[in-house]
Amino acid sequence: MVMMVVFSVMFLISLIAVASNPSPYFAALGLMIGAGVGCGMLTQFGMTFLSMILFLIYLGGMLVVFAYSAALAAEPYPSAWGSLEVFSYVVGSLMLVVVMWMLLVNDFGAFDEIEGCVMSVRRYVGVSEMYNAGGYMLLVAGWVLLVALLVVLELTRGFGRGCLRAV
Amino acid sequence: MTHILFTISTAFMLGLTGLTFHRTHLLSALLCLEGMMLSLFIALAMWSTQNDMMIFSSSPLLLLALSACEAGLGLSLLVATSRTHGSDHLQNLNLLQC
Amino acid sequence: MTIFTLIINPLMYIIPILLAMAFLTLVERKILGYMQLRKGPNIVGPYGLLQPIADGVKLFIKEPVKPSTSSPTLFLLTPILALTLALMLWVPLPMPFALTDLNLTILFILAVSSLSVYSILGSGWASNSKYALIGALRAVAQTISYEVTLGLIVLSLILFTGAFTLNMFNSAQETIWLILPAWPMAAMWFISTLAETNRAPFDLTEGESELVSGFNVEYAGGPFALFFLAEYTNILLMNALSAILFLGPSFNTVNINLNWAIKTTILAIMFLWVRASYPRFRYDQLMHLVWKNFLPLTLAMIAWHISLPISMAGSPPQL
Repeated sequence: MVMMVVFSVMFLISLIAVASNPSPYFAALGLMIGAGVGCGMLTQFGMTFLSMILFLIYLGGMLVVFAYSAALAAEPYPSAWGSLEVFSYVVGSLMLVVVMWMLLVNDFGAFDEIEGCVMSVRRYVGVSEMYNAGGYMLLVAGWVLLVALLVVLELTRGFGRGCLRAV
Repeated sequence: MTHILFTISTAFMLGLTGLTFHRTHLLSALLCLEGMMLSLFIALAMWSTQNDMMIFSSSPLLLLALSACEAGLGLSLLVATSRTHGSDHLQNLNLLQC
Repeated sequence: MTIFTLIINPLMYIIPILLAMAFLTLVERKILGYMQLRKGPNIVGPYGLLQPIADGVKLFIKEPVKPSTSSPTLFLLTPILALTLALMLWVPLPMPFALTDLNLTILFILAVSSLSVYSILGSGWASNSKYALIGALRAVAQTISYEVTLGLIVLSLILFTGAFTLNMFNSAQETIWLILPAWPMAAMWFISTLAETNRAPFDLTEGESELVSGFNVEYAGGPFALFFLAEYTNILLMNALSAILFLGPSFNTVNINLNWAIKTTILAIMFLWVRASYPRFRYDQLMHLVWKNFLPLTLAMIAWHISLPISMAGSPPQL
């Protein structure tokens, strides 16, 4: 219970860190922490498979590429959360979130309380039920990914000129 | 409103405000989009398991696949524009010629 | 009680791993030496047995240099992250009893090993030097490319065994080692682990001639030692994992641990043999190997491994 509240507060803070628009390096760092905390939230509710998948695909696959592009894009004067403009965004959104939390949140928990045995059943049934019910949709998603691969290849093809990292 | 519901929806709105308010780098816009996708993933996963609708637990995976497509396309656009326009500033895309 | 579970247990786990890794470095130097008709380290201790300890002491009492233009927090944090991840990977390995017995062991191992990319990228970026940054970018691109094939190969093996746990691999290989029915996957897995751990002939990150030492140029002393430890621990782990996945060490054997350790050692020595024999790849050849050869092949093999158990009406072992 306490862990859930801590996780959700950390999740909000990391999203604030992304949304206040510091330099892309720091935004990627914030999103990384957010994704890790999100995995923790899912695990707390017994969705171990989904949280592992999130960890593997999101944190291990996609965010790495974002961090890679951020490292590639040179910026002479990167602005972290300490710089004035970013800091004003941080303070503003933090105050807004705190006020809204005080106004809106009146009970703790996701949608209802869950017990331990239900969690283990969920974990056991989860993967097979998922592939059973959504199998065709996942197949379509696989084709979509293949099409996306080809589109990416076509988009980045032929730009031999220009530099990747302008210092 | 429960605090998980609040967290997820506020995280989505934070990502959205970050995307709208601040337009220097294409990369930060993409990162805000990714943050929105992350909160949507968590929301879908919570929704399907907390309401005991295990049938829908493939929907977050579907969303993850689509957001991976989106990330790939966004980054390839980033590479293409930074090759042709010299930097990834969104302002450069508005210039008439380059 | 908590002191046992929280401190003594992990220490009893960590110390043998670090010892094994230390002797792996000695074995590497000895074997490379004998393959080049020289002796390798033989001064410190009998047959040079104390050489790794001397190396460790030397590295840790050296002054850790911190470049003045580097970003200090990230610069010190990333070696710690690297070693932590490398040690965390050992936790769910069944030998034959794991420290924590997870349900989704394979997914856990893949996820944590994909996190180690961040340590490489962070160290290269934080040291704020051209060589380190270029080395880090090359290392990251190589690692995440080969991770794709690693994941796909493991997926097709999972379709054979029917579970994400490593214990199920042991029961699935009761009658036959998986290296026989899945030998193309085994070959690709071995090459991909070579590339994943940045070993020769895929050690483009530390090409001495063009990039001085890759992402860890600016590191010296203790932080460098942490990177070194993490790298060799990862090598041992990858070999242990391939022994479990393909060589079926812990079923119907007299001494499970010994069997597994011998297979791991043989695989590790094959790593060294490969290093002694092959010249370094060119970078575009490396990328072509994974994206144009391994990826289509593994995708096709996944389709094959999905349809094979169904068409032969052979279900994987159910727990």
